[in-house]
Amino acid sequence: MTADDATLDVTETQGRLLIRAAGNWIFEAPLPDTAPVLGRITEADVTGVVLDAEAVGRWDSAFLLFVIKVDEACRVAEIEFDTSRVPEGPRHLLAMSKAVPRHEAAQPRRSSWLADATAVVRLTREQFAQLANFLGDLGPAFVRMGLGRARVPWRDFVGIFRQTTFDALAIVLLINFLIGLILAFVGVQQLAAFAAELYVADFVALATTREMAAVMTAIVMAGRTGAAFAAQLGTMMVNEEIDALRTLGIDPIEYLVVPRVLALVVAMPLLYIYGSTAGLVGGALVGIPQGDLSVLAYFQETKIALAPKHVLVGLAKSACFGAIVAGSGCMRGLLAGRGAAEVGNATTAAVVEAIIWIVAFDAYCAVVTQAFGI
Amino acid sequence: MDATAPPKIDVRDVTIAYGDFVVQSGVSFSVKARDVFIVMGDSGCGKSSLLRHLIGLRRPRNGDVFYDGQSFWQGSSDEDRAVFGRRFGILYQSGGLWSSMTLAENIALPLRAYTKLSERQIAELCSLKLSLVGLAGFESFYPAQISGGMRKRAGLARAIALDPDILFLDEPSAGLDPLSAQRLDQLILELRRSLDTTFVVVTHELASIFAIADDSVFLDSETRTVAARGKPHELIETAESAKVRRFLRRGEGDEDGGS
Repeated sequence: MTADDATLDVTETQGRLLIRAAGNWIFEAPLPDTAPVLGRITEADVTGVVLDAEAVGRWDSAFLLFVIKVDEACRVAEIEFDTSRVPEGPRHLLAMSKAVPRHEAAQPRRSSWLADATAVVRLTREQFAQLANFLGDLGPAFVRMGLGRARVPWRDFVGIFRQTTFDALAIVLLINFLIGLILAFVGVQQLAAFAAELYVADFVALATTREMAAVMTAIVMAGRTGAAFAAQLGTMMVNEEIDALRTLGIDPIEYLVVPRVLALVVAMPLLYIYGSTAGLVGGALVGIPQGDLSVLAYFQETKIALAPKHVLVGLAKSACFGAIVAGSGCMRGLLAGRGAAEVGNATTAAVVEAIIWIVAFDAYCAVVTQAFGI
Repeated sequence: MDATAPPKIDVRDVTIAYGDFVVQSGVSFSVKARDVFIVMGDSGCGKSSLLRHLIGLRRPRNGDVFYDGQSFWQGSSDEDRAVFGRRFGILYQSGGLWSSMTLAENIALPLRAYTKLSERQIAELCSLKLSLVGLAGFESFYPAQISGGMRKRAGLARAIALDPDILFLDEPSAGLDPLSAQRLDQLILELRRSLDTTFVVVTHELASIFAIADDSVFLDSETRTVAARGKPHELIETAESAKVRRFLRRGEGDEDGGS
């Protein structure tokens, strides 16, 4: 303790408390315990409080906090608080802190475990309702476009198409090439047990064209383009750009969503063909040396395995995946809230939903094509 | 000015540039302790950029800034600047509140980082700071749940969390209704009077400028340097630059002051 440290003492004369504060009331210095003094105020025999702070040296929020607590205690005890001997600074700040009454309206709710569990159910239901709404808006927009009555910005379409195709070529190539490699590695090892290494060509061709090229390309595009769509539209939502379109009588679905969905529905089958080729090349590069096959035999076998129906199934699925990726990206973007954090949430939701729907739809296709023997 | 004590802030020959584009050059002025100092100018003149140089977010191309006579840029390391920075309170243009934290958590973060206060003291201080800006009872609200004017005030509450020596306010009243803006001006004057804080306010709200300014500097976006220095209500008559006089009159009245 030094002489300048904050001190506090209380004297009482006929029910009136005189609180004397002195020294430096700053957080860096030791502070006296204020609880006994505050407790004393609320005792029944006290009729008034005077705070004498004329001997207070340096002060910061620590002193202000004490003054406000004394004031609060006096308010609770319904007795008078005389601040005439408090320096001007803290006195003004005390008045300022009371200038606006405390906000007592409903506080934001805290979530409980049970509430979280019911929220999941509600959210799932909400999501399906949102999806139904979105599709209910998108369908008619496409019909209007078909009838030539929609305002679709074709210049944007070209830009989006370029962004989703040319700019994605490198990553689609890399992923599909590597998947082809992996397929061939796994295939050769298993088929060698039956001395049937030649059939690795069939395996790679079928797996690539029917499943992997379509699914992997779609997943890459969900992370790349679906996320970009959600971020673009979400930011437009936050900036009130979507509202600006609506008030001008321009349907944001027609103007923003239709070109994006259309661009991906066209782009994905093209990327699929490109990706399949990369996958087949990757498979051949591993399958031929690992299976100890001749190049001619491998290509002959691939040609036999590659029936047109497999490629057609892949193409059709790709187009649908394109719609899923673009649709979930746009939908999450348009449903984004108003804060900056909302754009991030929308992007995450868009990618997660797109991947779930891609896999689910692919599984559905596998069952249906099996049942129809395609 | 007191010849013995150095000015609170001394800006000497600062050049603000982005790449080849020089926004302002040769900016010099000084700010006295306990003044409300206004940085004004037309749009794009570099007001906010200047502020970024003052608070250490961007190194000036040339020149230096001195706080209480100590060099902030040339003679200081990054660590020194961080120590300096603890004496600053900054209100960013759009509040700058962390959106993932409640208002109380926003104010508590600097307190937790730089003081050894107990959690209870921190909670009490958060409530105190919020009550000073008229937001008592909003402790557990997120920034997205309150209005733009309230976000500005909450930003100010965070800026004064550490009882700063110097408060920098970037366009504090932009986007506020006249009554809220006036309340914010009152708050600034009250804080200055009660806490002895020095204020540097970047603004072009004339009502606000005349209400709170002790001293000011005017940055011109065409000549790209300081066009005028002094008290705004004197500059309105005496400024050499016609542009400054027109600016302060909101373009109204004759050049000769016939309004």
